Amino acid sequence: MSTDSAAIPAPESSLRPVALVARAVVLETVRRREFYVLAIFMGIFLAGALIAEIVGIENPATGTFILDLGLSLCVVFSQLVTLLTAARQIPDELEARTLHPLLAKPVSRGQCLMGKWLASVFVGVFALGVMLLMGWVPAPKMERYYDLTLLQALVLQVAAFCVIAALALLSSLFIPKMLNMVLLAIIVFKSSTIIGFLQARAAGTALEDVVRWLTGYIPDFSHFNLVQAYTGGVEPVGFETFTLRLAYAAVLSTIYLAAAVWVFNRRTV
Amino acid sequence: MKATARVASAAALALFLVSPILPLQLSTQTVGGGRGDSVEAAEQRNASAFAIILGEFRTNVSDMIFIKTERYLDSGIAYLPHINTDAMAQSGEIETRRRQPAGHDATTCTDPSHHHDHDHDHDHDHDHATSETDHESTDSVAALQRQVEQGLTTAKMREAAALKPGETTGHDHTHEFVDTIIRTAEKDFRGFIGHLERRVKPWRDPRLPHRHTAGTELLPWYRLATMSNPQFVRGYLIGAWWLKKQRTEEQTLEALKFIEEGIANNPNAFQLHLMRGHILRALKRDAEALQSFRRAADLGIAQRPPDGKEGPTWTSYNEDDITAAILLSVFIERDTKGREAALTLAREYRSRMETFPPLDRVIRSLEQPTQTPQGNANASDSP
Repeated sequence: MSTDSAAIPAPESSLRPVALVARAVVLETVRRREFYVLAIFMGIFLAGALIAEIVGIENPATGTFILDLGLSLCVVFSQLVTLLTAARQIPDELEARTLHPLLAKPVSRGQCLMGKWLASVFVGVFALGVMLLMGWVPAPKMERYYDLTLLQALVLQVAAFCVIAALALLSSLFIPKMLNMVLLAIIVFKSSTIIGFLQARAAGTALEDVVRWLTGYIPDFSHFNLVQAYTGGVEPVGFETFTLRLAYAAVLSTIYLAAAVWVFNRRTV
Repeated sequence: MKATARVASAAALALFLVSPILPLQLSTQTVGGGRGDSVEAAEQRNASAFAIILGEFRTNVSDMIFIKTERYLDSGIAYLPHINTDAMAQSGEIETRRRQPAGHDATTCTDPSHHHDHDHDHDHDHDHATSETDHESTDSVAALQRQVEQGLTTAKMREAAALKPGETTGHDHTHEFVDTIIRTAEKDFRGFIGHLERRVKPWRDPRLPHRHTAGTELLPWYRLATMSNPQFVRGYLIGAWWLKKQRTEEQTLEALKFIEEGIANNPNAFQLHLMRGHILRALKRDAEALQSFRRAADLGIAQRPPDGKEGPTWTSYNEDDITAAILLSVFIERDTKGREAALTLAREYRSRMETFPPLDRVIRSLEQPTQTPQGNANASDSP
């Protein structure tokens, strides 16, 4: 009986190393300065929004502008935190030579990567929560907004964190750290512009459909951003549209994580 | 174990290969920015103190284009939009309109060249659902076209559209001057630095008449904006409008090409079909224009709330556009196929909406065979 138990580990035993790695990453991230720097920037917005409230806001459109700015900063900063956390994990472990002791423990490379991914997503969610307290709570709400649209926007942001973390881990396995961070920032914040530009160039030509298909391989993070829909007073998106966006995030995360595990398992450290 | 890993890798690869299906599907289900996309909201937020403090740091392409449009039409000079910081500091008044002498308004002004709607105010506060007299101006094709233009563009843009490339026009603002963002020497505490900035950057004493230039230099901005964001419907509309205003056949055909690209990227944006109709009318292709107007009307009616009430997704500009699309369809149908055909079409449109006073009036006039409908006299007005 006891031999069988040793041979077939219980389900929680395979998750335990993942949780431990994730915990270590979160603790390490708390000691980093980036999050605090971004929080200071958010604090500047908070001060501006409070001053605007005291001085008086001219019209509802300006109130909505401030709310939109606050939420957009929340989203951008929390995406940045996720990106920086995930992109740094493997290169820093390799540089500090702490990966060897970690892998010497009963932790597989896949579990190590999953732990780092989970932690990056968690850090992003935590950052979003803190930023929301500074960016959404004090912002004026002078027009009609749908709470459910906000909820959908937040859920889609968490989905975006999953994709960002997975993509950052994958690209960090073969691109130098700083270059990786810059490239990822371009993809995360400007991919829809790049895609639109390429598609518009090919519009009306024989390559139009091919380009539309090929640009589909570039992750388009604008599909996860409903902030302007919320501040614009748009009703919640339909179930099908929302589910499709979540499915897009799930597919991208799965592909990038699978590729990352595959590359990491074959890489010499 | 290895077999499982191999299957998982193959599954992930297959998933990757077919993954573009999802973004392609999602690109057909875009979510608009609601009331934030309207001209009124853009003007209000760009004129706010908060926006002034942020300078040109804006969150969306349409705001950037809005600022660029203002700058280009004013020969690159950055004027302070609708805000007087001195007055704000002294009296707490946040938003001020351009300063005018007491008693000076549209009724007292004797200068025929002076446009009193010059500060881009749009009178879009009329009640579409109840007032019929508000729509008396919608009885002719030309009036409908003017109404659409007023919703789409500012007075300054319409004024600049009359200019040819390289031409400038002086606009006397001595009785309603607006400060520049770069301050005058008397108000600038920076001394030499301020002097240097005034010399290096486009600047003109705000007390001198404004110099307006043609808007053709704006066209690359609209091209760039629509390339980077193919869902930027206003970019397509205004870009096509500028091209059409060049009044040469070559440019009008270019406008048609541009608007058709917009339709390919945004097939459900009824305003694009409406603009296509206007361009085709300018090209004297009336049969195709009618098809475009009818397509605009069909799409617009499907998107319009049954009672036509304004909301985040349906603004007064949308109501003006759908009014134009429906009435133009009916008027052109009447002119090409006769009164009965127009009446049938009008009734068919009316049956799909709870209220629509402009169409009720047109139906009544079409139902009176002996009396010439109000719109008849002007129906053939050229755009």
